[in-house]
Amino acid sequence: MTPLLGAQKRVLVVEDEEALLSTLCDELEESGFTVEPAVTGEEALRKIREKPLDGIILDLLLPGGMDGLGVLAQLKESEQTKDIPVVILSNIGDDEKVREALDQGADAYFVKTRYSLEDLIERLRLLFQQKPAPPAQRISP
Amino acid sequence: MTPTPGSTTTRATDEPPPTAAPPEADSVSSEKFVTLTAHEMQVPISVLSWNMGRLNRVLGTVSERPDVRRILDRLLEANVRLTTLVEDLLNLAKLHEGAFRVYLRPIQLTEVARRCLKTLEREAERRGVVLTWSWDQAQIPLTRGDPNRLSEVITNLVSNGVKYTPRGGRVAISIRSSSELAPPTVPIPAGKTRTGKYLLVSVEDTGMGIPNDEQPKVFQQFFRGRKAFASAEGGTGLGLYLVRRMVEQHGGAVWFVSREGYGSTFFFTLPVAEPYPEGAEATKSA
Repeated sequence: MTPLLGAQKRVLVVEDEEALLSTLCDELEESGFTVEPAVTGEEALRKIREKPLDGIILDLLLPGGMDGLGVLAQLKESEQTKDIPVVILSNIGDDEKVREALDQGADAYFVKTRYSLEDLIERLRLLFQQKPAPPAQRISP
Repeated sequence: MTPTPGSTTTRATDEPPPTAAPPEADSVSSEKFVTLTAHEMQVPISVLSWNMGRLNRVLGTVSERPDVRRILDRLLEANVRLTTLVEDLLNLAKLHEGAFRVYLRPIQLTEVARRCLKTLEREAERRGVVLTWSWDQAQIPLTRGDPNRLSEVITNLVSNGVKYTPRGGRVAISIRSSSELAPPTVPIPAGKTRTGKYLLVSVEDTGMGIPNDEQPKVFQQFFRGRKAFASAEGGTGLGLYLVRRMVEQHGGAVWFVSREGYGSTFFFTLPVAEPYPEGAEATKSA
């Protein structure tokens, strides 16, 4: 696994399946990321407001009242968060859903079963390094 | 392609006769159950797949024992089969619901093929099958395609070739331009013109070949040949049926030539993309 170059990137992982969340967090941390986990849309938005982030990995189907597209919509509505890179990581592989997420402003869309973890992390690493987060992204609760 | 002596050419249009009776309530709920189960299976599959990848890297660096390598290879292979099976089930469910769609956009097919082949290389190597591919990148125009679906088509055809080719054999993939949808020996759907601008993909293997009496059934749902059944390879008989549906939804054609004991070559064509109008915005893709 290629370690990150430069400053450590802080990434929020929004995933409600515990086994997937912990696997992803372990791998990202071993690759040099600082990881914040969240299991619901509401928790994700709270964590986004708390600390600056360099990227968000977002599942679509989430428990509670807000799904991944709801989180994405809120992110894109705010000047402070609209430029944080967002990668959708879902089991839904329908092109219609892919198109919907990309049209809403997601930077990339990956179907979980189609990527090895190594391949996935490499793509995330490139994506989050290519697109630097804006300097002021903290937003008021 | 001219069929070799003793080989036969079969187009992908043979289907069992449609049933007129509406589906029974039981069969509808069974289908729904299969779809839901297949969806739910994706989560544990991802957990298995990702963690096996991690285990592979961890053990790969600390253990050189060949038995550990063999165990890991078996686990990885089983997981690939499980993933394929679930994807086939989900695709079949979508076909039955009429929800199976392709989203066409100009794509470079060679890039899709390269990614698939990179994934399949290790499996071919493990089985002692030589996997080769050839195309002249400068001569391959863009095609209108759905990269996810075309990735499934290529993976299916190539992995079949690898599975049913004995150790020491080879599987060769080529992509080239063609001026016809299908050769004259292959009937085409009414309303389609035979000539035009197409890409022709071929997947040739030196495997067991398909007996003449089984060839008309190859693209039918759930069909598995006698040799496939007798082999140690698993399968549902859905793969080639889905290949046919996906290629036809792209406006292409699929067919094969095969000779028992010598091997098979599967072909499919895809229409070449018209050039984008100036200033047109490219579609964002995954």
